[in-house]
Amino acid sequence: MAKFTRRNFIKASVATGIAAGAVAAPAVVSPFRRSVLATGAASAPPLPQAISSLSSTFNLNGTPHTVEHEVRTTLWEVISEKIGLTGTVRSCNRATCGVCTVVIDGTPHYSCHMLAHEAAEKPILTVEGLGDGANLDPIQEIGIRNMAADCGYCTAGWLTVAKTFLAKNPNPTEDEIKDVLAGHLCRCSAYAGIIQTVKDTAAYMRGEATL
Amino acid sequence: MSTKIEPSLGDAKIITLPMVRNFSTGGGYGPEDTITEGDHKIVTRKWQGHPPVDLAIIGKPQAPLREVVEPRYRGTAEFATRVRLPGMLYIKFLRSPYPRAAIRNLDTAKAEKMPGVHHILTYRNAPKTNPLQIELMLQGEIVALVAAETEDQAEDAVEAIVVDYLDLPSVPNLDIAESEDAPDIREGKGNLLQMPANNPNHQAGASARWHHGDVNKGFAESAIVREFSYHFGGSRIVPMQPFSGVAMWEGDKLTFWGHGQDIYPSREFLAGWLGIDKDNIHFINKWNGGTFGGFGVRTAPFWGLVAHISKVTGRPIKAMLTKAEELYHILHKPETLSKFKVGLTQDGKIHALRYELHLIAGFTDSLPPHVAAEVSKNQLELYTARTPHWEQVSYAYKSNTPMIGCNRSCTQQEVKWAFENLADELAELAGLDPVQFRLLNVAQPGDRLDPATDWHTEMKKPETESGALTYDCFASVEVLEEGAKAFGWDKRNPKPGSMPGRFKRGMGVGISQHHPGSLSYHEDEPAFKTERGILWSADVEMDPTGRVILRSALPDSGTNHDTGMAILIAEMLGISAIDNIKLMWGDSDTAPKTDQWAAGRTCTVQGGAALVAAKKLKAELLKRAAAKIGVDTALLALKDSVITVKGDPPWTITAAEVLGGASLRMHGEVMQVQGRSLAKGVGACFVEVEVDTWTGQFRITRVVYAHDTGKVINPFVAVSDMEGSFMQSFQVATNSIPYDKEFPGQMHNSIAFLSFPIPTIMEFPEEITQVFIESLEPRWFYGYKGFSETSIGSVPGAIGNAIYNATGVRVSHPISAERILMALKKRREVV
Repeated sequence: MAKFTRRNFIKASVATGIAAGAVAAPAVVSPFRRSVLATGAASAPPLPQAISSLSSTFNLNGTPHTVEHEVRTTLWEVISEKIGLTGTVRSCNRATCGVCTVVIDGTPHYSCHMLAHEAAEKPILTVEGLGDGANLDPIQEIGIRNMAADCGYCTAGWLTVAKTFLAKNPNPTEDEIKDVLAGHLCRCSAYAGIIQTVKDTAAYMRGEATL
Repeated sequence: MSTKIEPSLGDAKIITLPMVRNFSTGGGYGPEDTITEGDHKIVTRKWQGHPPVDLAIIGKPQAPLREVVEPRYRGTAEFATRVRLPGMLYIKFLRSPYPRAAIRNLDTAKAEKMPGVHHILTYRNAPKTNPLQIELMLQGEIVALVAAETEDQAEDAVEAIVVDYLDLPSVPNLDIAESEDAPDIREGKGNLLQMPANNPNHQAGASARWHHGDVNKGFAESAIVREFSYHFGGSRIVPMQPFSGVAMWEGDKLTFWGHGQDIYPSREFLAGWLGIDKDNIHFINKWNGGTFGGFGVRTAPFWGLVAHISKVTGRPIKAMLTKAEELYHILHKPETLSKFKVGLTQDGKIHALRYELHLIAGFTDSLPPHVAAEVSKNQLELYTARTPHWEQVSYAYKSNTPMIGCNRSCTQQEVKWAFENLADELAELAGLDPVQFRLLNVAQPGDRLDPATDWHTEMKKPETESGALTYDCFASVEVLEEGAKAFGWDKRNPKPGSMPGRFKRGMGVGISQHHPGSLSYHEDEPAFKTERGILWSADVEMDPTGRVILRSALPDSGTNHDTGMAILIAEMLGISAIDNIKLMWGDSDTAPKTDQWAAGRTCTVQGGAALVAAKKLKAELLKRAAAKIGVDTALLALKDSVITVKGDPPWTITAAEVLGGASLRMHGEVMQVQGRSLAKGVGACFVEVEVDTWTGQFRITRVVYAHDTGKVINPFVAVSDMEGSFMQSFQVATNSIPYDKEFPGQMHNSIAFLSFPIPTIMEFPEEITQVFIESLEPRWFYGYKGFSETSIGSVPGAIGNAIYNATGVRVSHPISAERILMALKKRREVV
């Protein structure tokens, strides 16, 4: 039986030209497999061979970076491991937790499940794009005053999304905030602080609150 | 009108109990204390050290320490996964797909020739100090490691390794462990793990037994006798940060970035695995993306293998596990079966109780803490302090499943789920309100501790020499009564399932006893020198400019405990703003040796060591100032590194002037004994649910979570921490299926958070209120004690009981829409 894994899915996508995008493909894994950890078996399917190298330019927070990478390389790996903007972290590597989210041309994407070449040339916002180096962005400062992060591993992902969302919706309801951040898991469950942070940042941006 | 955004407590309530209550007994005491004996009590009239009066900064809500919080928002907190070094290689693992298997053959020839591959490690070439096995004892055990230029290349090579496994019979769950045809996985010794024969709690045919009175006599004397049984399916924590480690060598010196709850113990384990001197390892772990007790060095021998490959290849290496792989390396909550036989008096008091605890212990030959260690009998103790006849018999089996232990605390939900369902059923049986039933039966201040249950009095302590101990600083009554009041418990419908309509609301309660951190003995107490335990230490330094530096070797645990310790030493040294304190933490090069944080004890033991050091620093600074200006130290006060000399008019000298260009560094120590006598904590949870009886779906609508806290150091952080505590325990109650029945031994975590869902922002309760009962702890500085995990065990039972109250059906663990629906259908059929 053919082994259906995230990697083979991506390789097959590369081979067939399907855009992988942020699709939760492994959700269709059959529950009747002996084990997802089974590997190296003699009956394993032949590995797709379409692994080739590319050179692409990534426009991260307004700065271009040109990188050599394989076609199958994910956007997260390019941003964090090749370019070295390590603010964007990866957790599940299965497009389920939202930790690795970056905003591409105004739309959030799970960078662990996007092929890097798809994001080439497009404007990408990561956590390093918030604030100005010396000063935090208001949403970061307001987060600190609301306990919106405890361990902080999920923070970089939802911050960029909330920032982009508020630019489009300056007066969101609590339900709208929950909807837009539903794809971001926080294991410390600082959810109350996250919701309050987005509300307060909106109020601050409308000039109804101060820091 | 423009509002200022600043830390707020919302609707949290803080209730401070009187300083020393009449029943306050025992407690460590110094030679200068006044001690009154009587009624088998030792009444300590004086406070240890520093009473919580005139506090300048402790107890004030404030944002976390900038130094530990800001990098989390900037994306610069250097989790091991964020470490990036020139020439770094990546590790991928080949793991056993079977619950138990043997490697018959293994061929790496093809993999070794693949692009980017630098090294492959298997049982054939693994170091003798950290071997890989041929017999694989659980799914996910490491078969091979591949180091390559990229993760993809390493994974290509992993897929090209050919292994021929022999699938062996296994013990993957409790059913099989207790069946007659279970395979023996302990080389003929049998899978039951037992106390040694010379231990007083040894019991033939069981793991251990504790008892008091005559339980059969107690049943004969009881008005009502019933039996109950509860199954807990097991659970696990899943932090957001992948379990990770990075190794880099410079000659014979290794720098290792780890992940977990300690620095020095990790360094020693790593040195042992590598066969090198621990002083040749620089161990760093400042930031953690969650550990929750389950991640740590003891389950991470792969760190040693990663460091070994780094040495062999001469390249820095990073390893980041997948969620599926982590299952093998984290501590689990075990599958347990709790069986009770209970005798009640006519008025609803527990007169006799027999408790059987059955569990799988994972891949270990040691008795798990659920049976062997300090915390095992907490909930039993809570419900038997007033019971004349009781016994506990435990059965723990070695199994082909991951090791069990702490994950958001140990022996909590896996035991308390059963006890809190039981208490609800007993209350109904006795015709009592569940809160009233608990008030009648749980331990209260003044109740005597039974040495047979109490893990404190089992060990001789200075406090026990003069007589029996009783509960003292213990808010069991207040967490129930104040919690009930804040929740509106009086509006609970006493008739389960009687609310009309499709959507039914119900209320439930749970209670939990746990230790409040580990109160210990600090350098100023006589027992510090006489007691044996684990030594904790910290340094507090003042640099030549007068700035205070805290050197603490612990990794962080989010922003809470470093903030808490900064507040403590700020109080001691008269510092107005904690951000004026510099922290040097999580690094074996910058801070003195200390142990592992766990179980909510950081602020008690590590914070205690920091307070001792700060106290010494203040004393020495004032002594030098007094000598320099020729006055008595009693006339001096320290505030924000300026020393004021009382007088008319008062005049000042700066700490920098006193230090004269030098820095002053003091060392503080605390001896952690296995729970200083009488240190107990308790918490209660009140939950309202709404159940859709057509689908079984339910949601949490309201929560009141009440905690026995001691003085709260920073209530702002505490509110957030306790919200997390509730949500994590909610997850344990609802989404935990690690021991699969249909495919035994399979871990089913292949697709991370899809196959193991954790609560999202959508599941957060509509209302959640924290109630802090400040039961001031007389034995420690400033009346504080730990409470991070005292309440967490109360949550699943409270949710289960609320669902029962709403629907009239009691569901097994894990609570799910399917189980609720099936139970409702079954009840309709029965009706």
